[in-house]
Amino acid sequence: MYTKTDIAALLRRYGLHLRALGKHAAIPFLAVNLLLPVLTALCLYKSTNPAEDMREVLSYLRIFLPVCCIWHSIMIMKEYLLGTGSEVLFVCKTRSRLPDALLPFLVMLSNSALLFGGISLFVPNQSANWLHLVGVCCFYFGIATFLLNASRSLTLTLMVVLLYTIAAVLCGDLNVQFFPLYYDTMSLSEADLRLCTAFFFLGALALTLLGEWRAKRNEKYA
Amino acid sequence: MLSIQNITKTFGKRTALSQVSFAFDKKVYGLVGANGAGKTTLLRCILQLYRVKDGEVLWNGKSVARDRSFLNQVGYLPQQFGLYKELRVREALALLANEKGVPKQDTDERIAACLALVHLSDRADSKVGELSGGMVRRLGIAQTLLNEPQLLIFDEPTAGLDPEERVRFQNIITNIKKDRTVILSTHIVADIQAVCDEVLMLGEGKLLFHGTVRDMTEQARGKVFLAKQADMTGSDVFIVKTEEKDGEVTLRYLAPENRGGSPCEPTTEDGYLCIQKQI
Repeated sequence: MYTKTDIAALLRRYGLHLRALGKHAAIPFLAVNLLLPVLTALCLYKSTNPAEDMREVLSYLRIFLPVCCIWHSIMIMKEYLLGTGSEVLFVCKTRSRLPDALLPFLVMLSNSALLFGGISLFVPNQSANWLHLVGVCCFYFGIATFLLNASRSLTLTLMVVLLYTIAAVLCGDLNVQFFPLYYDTMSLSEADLRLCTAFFFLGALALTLLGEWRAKRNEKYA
Repeated sequence: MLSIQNITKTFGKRTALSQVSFAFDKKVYGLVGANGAGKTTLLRCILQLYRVKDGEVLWNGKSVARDRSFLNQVGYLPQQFGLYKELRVREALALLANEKGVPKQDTDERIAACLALVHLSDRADSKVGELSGGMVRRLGIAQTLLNEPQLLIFDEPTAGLDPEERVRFQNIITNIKKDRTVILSTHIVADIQAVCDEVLMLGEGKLLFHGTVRDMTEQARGKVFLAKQADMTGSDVFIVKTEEKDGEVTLRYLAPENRGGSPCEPTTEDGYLCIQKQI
């Protein structure tokens, strides 16, 4: 169980990890707090049919948000797994990498919630779509942590994430948009959307746990 | 105290370590051996970076596989070290101190003390990426001391360093070794001579020798000779050095018996080679 001291230490680590990423740590924050709000505002500005235009908004949110949410997590885990001399980190008291990867993801997800909250002021009744998008983001987190732990390859991880995103977008014209596809779910019934969302959350949990198991099963470090 | 018992480590069909046992004391140990002898593998087995299925690593009598507090007592510097290049030296140490569980109220004091010990206090606000190779290595030594460990492990700490940095490293080890077990994996004989109380030599995964530096040197007593190439007889010699002067070639060689030359005083390097080559 995490004590108050552990949580304080985790938060301090998070701040230092972000500084360690350098200038590009700001990119996901800029994307979520500047780029996406501007795009959303342009889409909804003087809209005569906000509900329909919401489809447009969700389409690009579904591309950008998952990647923005997992970016810091991937870069922090990369340092643990691939950094020069990262064995030192495996010989430290703090052994589990998952909290260090999870916190940045939750921070970005919360940041995204502000954006979605703002959108909901103009286009109400979007909670189902928002929950689905959160599920997709969690699924991306599961994919990233599983691949990084199993393959120890940043290139492979980013490639799979990119290909999955492209595949989901390209399949957007299909009539059936069920898990693991996610790009255009407006054609789904509410029941199917809920089921799909549940699958994304479960998939995220399964992949994350599988990644942790895989990391332990391999040689502990090599 | 650290103790390793019958450690065997294989990677697929390759045996990296075979039945290695030793009991360490509060001394500085030099771990030497040829490339691929198993030095890094042994260190990683001690540190639980590799799973040890055959054999045991004991710390104060308890198996480290079941005692997570063991790692709180360890400071480790790997062969390559260069984490957090975008952070300033002080920040990098703060992050590592956090990772090692150093209490927040003690962090600043420990960082200042460690930087002073490795003579990096004046670079505390420089980025890690801006430091020279020797300074990064000193930073690596500083991070090993953050949690005030009783066991220090350095894996080839002076590889690639210039002579001045190597001397600086030797002096640092002399300052920090008190009441600690220090294990130094190295190829550099001068480092062994300068700082090590005892030497362990690995060869093909086995422990070939352990003793003092003097003991290792004495292994070559009566086996080191100097001769002109023209006077040499026999082929079962290991040539340590070849010198040419005025067209005449002189050889310094190791052999079980004289092969036409004059005996020489052995060096530590001669002792190392005699053990490795089983002369």
